[in-house]
Amino acid sequence: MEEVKKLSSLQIILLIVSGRLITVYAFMPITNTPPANQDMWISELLSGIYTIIICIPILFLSRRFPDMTPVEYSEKILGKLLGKIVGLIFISFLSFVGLFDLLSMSEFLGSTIMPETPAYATMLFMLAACIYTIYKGIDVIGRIGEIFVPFIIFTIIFFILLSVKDMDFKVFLPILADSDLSMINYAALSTASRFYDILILCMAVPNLKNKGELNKIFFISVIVITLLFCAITVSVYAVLGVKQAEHANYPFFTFTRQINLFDFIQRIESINVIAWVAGTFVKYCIYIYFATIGLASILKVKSNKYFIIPISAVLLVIALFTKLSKSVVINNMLSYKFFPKLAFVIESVIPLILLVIYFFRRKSLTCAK
Amino acid sequence: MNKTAVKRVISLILIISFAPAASGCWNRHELNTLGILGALAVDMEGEKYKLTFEIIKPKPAAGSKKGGGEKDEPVKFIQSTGDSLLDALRNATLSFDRKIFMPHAKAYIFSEEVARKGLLNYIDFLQRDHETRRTTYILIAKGSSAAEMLNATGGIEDIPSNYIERLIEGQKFNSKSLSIRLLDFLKYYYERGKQPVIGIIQKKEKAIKEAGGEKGKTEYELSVEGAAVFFEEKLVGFLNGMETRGLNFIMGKMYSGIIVSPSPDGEGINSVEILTSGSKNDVEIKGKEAKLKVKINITGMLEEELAKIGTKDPEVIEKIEKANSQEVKNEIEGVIGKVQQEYKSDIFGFGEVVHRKYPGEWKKIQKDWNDIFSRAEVNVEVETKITRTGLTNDPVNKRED
Repeated sequence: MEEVKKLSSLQIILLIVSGRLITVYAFMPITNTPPANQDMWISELLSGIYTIIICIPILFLSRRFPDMTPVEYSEKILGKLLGKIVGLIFISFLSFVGLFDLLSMSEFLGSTIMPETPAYATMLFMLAACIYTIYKGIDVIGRIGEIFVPFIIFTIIFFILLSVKDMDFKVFLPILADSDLSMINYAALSTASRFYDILILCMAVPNLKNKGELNKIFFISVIVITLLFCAITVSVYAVLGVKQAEHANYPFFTFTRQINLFDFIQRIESINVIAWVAGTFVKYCIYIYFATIGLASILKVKSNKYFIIPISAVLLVIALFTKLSKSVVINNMLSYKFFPKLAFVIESVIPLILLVIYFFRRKSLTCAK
Repeated sequence: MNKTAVKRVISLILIISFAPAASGCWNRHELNTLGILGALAVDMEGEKYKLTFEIIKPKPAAGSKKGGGEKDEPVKFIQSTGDSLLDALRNATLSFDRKIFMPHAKAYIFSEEVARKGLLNYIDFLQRDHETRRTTYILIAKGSSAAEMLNATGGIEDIPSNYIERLIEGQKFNSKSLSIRLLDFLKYYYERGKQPVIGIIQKKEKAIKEAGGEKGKTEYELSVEGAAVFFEEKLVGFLNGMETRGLNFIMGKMYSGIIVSPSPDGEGINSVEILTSGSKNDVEIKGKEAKLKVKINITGMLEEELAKIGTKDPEVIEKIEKANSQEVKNEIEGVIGKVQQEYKSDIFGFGEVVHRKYPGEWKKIQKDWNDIFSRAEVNVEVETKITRTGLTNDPVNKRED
């Protein structure tokens, strides 16, 4: 009999925050989402509201089925075959995020500090550490999150405070003159759609200590993430200027490189990379952990441990031997044209369909496991 | 084998496999394989680039100097040519035994020719590469080739690049030069309503020879006085020191400086040290005509009074304030006039003011803005407040008889 593993509310909040924050920390896709001008911070703030709206269906379902993951209750709602297909879609998305994580890991390290280190080396070492962690289970991942994620948040605040003197807030003027509301809303929706980490929250529901706090956990994560995003965007724009940030592949890294306080605190971008690698590590662990959990429940296998190495190996092979590991491909995948749309379908459209069907069948369904 | 033994073996394997990663020695740069770049000078030779590198020599600490009067040069100069900046950089390893390491570069110096052809067309590498930094200063070499700037030593610093860096940072004492980093240059360039300006550097013959210097040999020092004016990516001309100070006044980058103005009563001069200076720029648009307004607020301290007037009297101080304001006003009107007539390039950022104030209009006039700017009416207002008069009241040359 497997012991029941539990996550505290703080742990799951930190895991969600790290998952969402890591993309912004390195790539900041908002700088390339149209209208890509000085009003983007408004979009960021608005995206908080959109995130809440987008996530209502899946959150509602998770409250109805507090002992099940989305993979399990979709089988319950849709019946065996269709339910398994939907479950597989969820799992492939989780694995895809893991793959993307792996790709961006080698991409970011290779472009910023270690161009001569081959991709397989970075990926292998990261995977070895991740697989070990995933074997140890969710409570270990939760505790790792408790160590790493506060550090990541601390670095963000630290970098921003160090460059306050270089900021020129005039770049944000004129407000709302160069972009119309529809574009700002589009950017907000696109940013909100990147909050696919709601899947992690829903997958983790059976493991939560306080299931009643589900809404509270969700709201706190959204608020923390939105505020941090806004702080990052505003400071990067204020230091680099809007266009220079748009042209940078890694705006926040470029921003960190310019920090120079009294000719004394300078050249500290390695801290940026360290924090980012730590965050990517946590993110990979959590996504692949839940992918294996989902797979185990679809195939009715008792333990998820059989799938950890196979999934990681498949992802490694895909990452190394396809054309995916190119900066251009990764950046295009991340852009507003692809990732948010895919994530929107997974986190909002599919749960909405599930929700509608659930309402028709709710009398004949039992919500317990 | 029981379970604990298996676990031990696995952890041992893991530890051994992770150990090499911990030292991080894949992409390593050992100090004794690097040539640390102090400054880079870029010249053109026909269609090719000629790069001059100043490499800092790792030398033993000052205490352990070998006997003998031989002076050890702290740097080495290396030249290489190539089809592009990066190509030339790598070609340097053909004749130099260390790989040139960019992150510690203090300044990139470009020759006038490169700047006139369009600086932005050449420096993509400097922002794309992961070793270069955007916090490095950029300068335009005026008068002579960029390479020549590297071997003049006029300062206390032994290393020429440190000397150049200190000169640039001296901007805050004289305000007659510009300290522009690559980051700032790109920021100005991307902004539609502001044209870039960069600091310049020129070589000057030294007035006083060094003690112990060779006879008959001319010695040179450097000067960063002035500024280079760009229109989009191309250099269009230069400003002299006083004009650059006017520019700094308008851009609000005036940290200190001495304003010399004629004394109110006509005989002699007085100097005011600037303590703080604030600027407020405004533009009024009427159709296709613009009116530029500059408002400067100076707080200063009377540092020199060479006329025989009593500075105890508040009225006299007020007169000095007025004279001082007039001086600054002339300076600012001078620089705006010159830029309007000769360069037609809005280096002051009035376009950004228009963008903020009339966002709708700006979209229409954005393309012709530099023309509109160059025929705009200028209105400068300067207000000086002398808060301190130093340690004496009446000047020494004023005698009570």
